[in-house]
Amino acid sequence: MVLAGRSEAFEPLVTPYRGSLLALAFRLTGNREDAKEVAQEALLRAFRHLARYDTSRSFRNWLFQIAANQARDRLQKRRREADMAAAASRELPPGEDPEAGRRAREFRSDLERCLSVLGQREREVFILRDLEELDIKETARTLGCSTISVRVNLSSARRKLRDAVRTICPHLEEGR
Amino acid sequence: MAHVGSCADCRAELEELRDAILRVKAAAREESAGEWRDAEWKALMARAAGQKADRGRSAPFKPRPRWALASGVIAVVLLAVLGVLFRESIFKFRGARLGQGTEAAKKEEPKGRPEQQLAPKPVDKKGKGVPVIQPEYLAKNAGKGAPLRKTPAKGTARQDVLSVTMVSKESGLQVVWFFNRNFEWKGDQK
Repeated sequence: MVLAGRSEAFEPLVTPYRGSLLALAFRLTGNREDAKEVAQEALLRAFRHLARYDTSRSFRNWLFQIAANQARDRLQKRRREADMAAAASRELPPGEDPEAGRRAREFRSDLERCLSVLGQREREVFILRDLEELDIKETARTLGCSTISVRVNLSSARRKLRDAVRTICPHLEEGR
Repeated sequence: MAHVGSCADCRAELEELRDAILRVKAAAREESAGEWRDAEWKALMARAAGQKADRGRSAPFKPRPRWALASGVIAVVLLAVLGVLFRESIFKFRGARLGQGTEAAKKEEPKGRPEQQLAPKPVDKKGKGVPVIQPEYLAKNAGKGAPLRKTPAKGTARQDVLSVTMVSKESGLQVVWFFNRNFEWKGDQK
């Protein structure tokens, strides 16, 4: 119906995924503020480009693909900003590093600390395959990479996470 | 999988990995990723509905990519350059088709005196042009017998009508005599 031009049909189409989309964005970005912006932008883009949606595919996975792309863009932007802040902080007197202060104040959950040991691609693959339970093929399609790349990154991510659970968050391992 | 079944070390490692994944998944389920406030969600849906949707395949006009525009411009410039380079040969070809050798005929036209050039060219009864014997030739060859051959020379076209034109220097009067192929006098024109 949305494809036929009825914009009011968009809300019922995306409402079932409002929670899972936000959760995915949060896992990918590791930040609630960024997650909400990523999810919003993904929904707006989904509406704009709905004509490109391949109806043979799961709508949820298509939505996740848009969100994953948005999250990647957002993280790259954040990294650039962090680099610029780091460059600026070198010119400040010692003890006045705003980025370090921000990082110290930032609350990081156990899960986030574990996920932080992963590289960008490993993190995306682990979240989509193991947390969101997409299959290998759909994960590859969502991330725009090969299934081999998914398998390699997934294997590496799982090993790193096992070690992280042991060392960084042992209480997770103990089931606390 | 057959190897894992027979290798205790690999089986233990696999179990560890599974356990770690389960614990991470459990932690992810417990951790709240935040929730949309209703007002926030409604505003977002209104914003989405208010924006213009890309109709994709059914769009009446799809902007062409930059490379398509650049290719078009290059093609036009190339055609213009080729047109300038081969302009002369194109016109020559057209001239040959339309005028059937008029260029060559013009080049071979004798350059006589002005009064001769102004005088109308002699034509036969059918209106066809006829050859002209110049007065200089007649004066030069006076008394040397017939200057014209009855039969055409080898390699030349056979001629049925012959004309002799005489022009008066004083009055400009022209007299043209016509002969047939047997050199019999057929008439004159003043």
